[in-house]
Amino acid sequence: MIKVLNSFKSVPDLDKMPAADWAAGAESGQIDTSYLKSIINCYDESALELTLRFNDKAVSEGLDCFLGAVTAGDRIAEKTLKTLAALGFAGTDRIVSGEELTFRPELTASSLLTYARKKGPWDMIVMGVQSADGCNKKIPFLVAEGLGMTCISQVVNFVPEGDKACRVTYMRDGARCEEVVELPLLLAVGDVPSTYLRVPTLKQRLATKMQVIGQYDAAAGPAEFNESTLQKVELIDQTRAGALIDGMDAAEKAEKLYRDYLKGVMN
Amino acid sequence: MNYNLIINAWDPEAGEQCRRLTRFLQDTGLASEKGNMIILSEEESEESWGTLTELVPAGSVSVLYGEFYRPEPVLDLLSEMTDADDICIFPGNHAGEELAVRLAARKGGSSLTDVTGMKIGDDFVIGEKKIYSGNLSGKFRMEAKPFCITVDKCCEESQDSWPAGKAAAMISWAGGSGRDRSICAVEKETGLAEAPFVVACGRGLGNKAAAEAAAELTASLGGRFGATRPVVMNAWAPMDDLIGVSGTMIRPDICIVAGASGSPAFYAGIEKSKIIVAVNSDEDAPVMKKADVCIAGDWKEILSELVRIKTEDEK
Repeated sequence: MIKVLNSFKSVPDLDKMPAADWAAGAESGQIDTSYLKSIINCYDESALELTLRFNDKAVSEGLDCFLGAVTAGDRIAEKTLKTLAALGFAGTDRIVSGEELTFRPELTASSLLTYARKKGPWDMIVMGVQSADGCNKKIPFLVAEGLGMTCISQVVNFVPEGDKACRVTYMRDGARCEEVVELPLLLAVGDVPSTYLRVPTLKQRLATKMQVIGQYDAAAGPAEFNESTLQKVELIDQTRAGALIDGMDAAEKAEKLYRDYLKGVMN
Repeated sequence: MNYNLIINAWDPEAGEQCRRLTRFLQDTGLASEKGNMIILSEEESEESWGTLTELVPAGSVSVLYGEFYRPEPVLDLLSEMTDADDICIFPGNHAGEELAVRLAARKGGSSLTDVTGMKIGDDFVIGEKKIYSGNLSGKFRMEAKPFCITVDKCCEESQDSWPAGKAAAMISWAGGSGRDRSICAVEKETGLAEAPFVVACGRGLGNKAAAEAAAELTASLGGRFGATRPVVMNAWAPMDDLIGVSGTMIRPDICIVAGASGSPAFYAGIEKSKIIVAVNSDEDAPVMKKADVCIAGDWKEILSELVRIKTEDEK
């Protein structure tokens, strides 16, 4: 059996945050994103969908997989864990922490390491390369170091090669690479088009309605890495003149744009 | 503080990365300190890395080489070579980001990626970087040496040069654990980075057919089509068209942004444009305030009218 652990994070949809709230947050030093809709971090979403495709392929080749999903964050992520249970993740756990983890990737990684050791060993650990809010780009690498696992980053696809290896396609600087790598393996998924998480059927949801969302105490693990500590936040001013071109219709607006700004550049 | 610059020569943008790291050294005052350059190369021959030594002020040069790069054997060597160093500086590319974080973890140091500025104290550094998807900037205090950082690819490049350096040490790395390997170079000569006129489109286009229509109108205008992350993630446009921190950073004379809200990660890719024109049906979209000129209206109507006007003007 191939044991696969997916780590994911629910993040606030920052695109919906008004500019005025960023300015107010920067001034006060308190960024409140709690009122924003929570979504799966886009890189983690690709990682989850690729894992399900890996599982589909493994099953079609007669291989057994155990899929586990874990998140370190608040209760809102449990909705996603329920969805993942319906999609075939037999293990669904939440690491509970009293700490704010957004800019503490070292602490988050330490919690994940303790969890992974307790519930492992894992043949594969899969997660996104980064999240939109923290932008740390650290957690997969710290987990790989902590577990001493081979790590491949910027992964765009992976398929089973028997139950002891995996064929991994990934991007590196200036090239697309493919190789067969022996398990165990940590995969950090990058930009992969068309990898939105599939939607479970009502039948799948009902079948896993009773699956327990496990709670794991983050305080059980020691800090394993030195932190870089956030001291201060500041607003990035990106404003420009924003001169509005008026006109009766599109033709008039386009005429002004062409005449005043584009003509010399286009020709 | 002494420093190490660690550059991977197989990155097609290795020259730009060297210039960026040099400018970072100059801006932080490190350029006058004792420094080393470690070049990672998949070829032993000096032809593949020699010119990079002219782009940095580092005093000594070491080259790590091997047939097929995997981070683990390289990290083993870097761990041994950076014992006495205070700061290890990597480019903000795929290899740099992974090596910086993992090297710091192995050495008991601290790390920070995509650093845009740095202040150096007696036994600490304060690194600055964009956070919250680029909406804010954060200052991070690092206390554990070595400080391993990557320099954000939005940072400016130095135009200075130095006499070519000779490698004081050539060390080969062991092969990784993979098999049946293949490497396919990604063609970066799409013209997007150098185009003087770009039309950058966002998810407001609505669907793949609309993205194709926008690309055709852009071609009729003599421009280069580009896209935001949601557009390429929906497969409405190829990855080569991606503009932003995950894709191409552009600096055209004019960039028309159509149907995009102007998320910071995308905006970072166009912020060096001389003139930004925003076309959006929502007059209050964030991108309108980040543009020099803006038009509230339907992107397709505006681009179609521009094609008509240009065609008539050329008669």
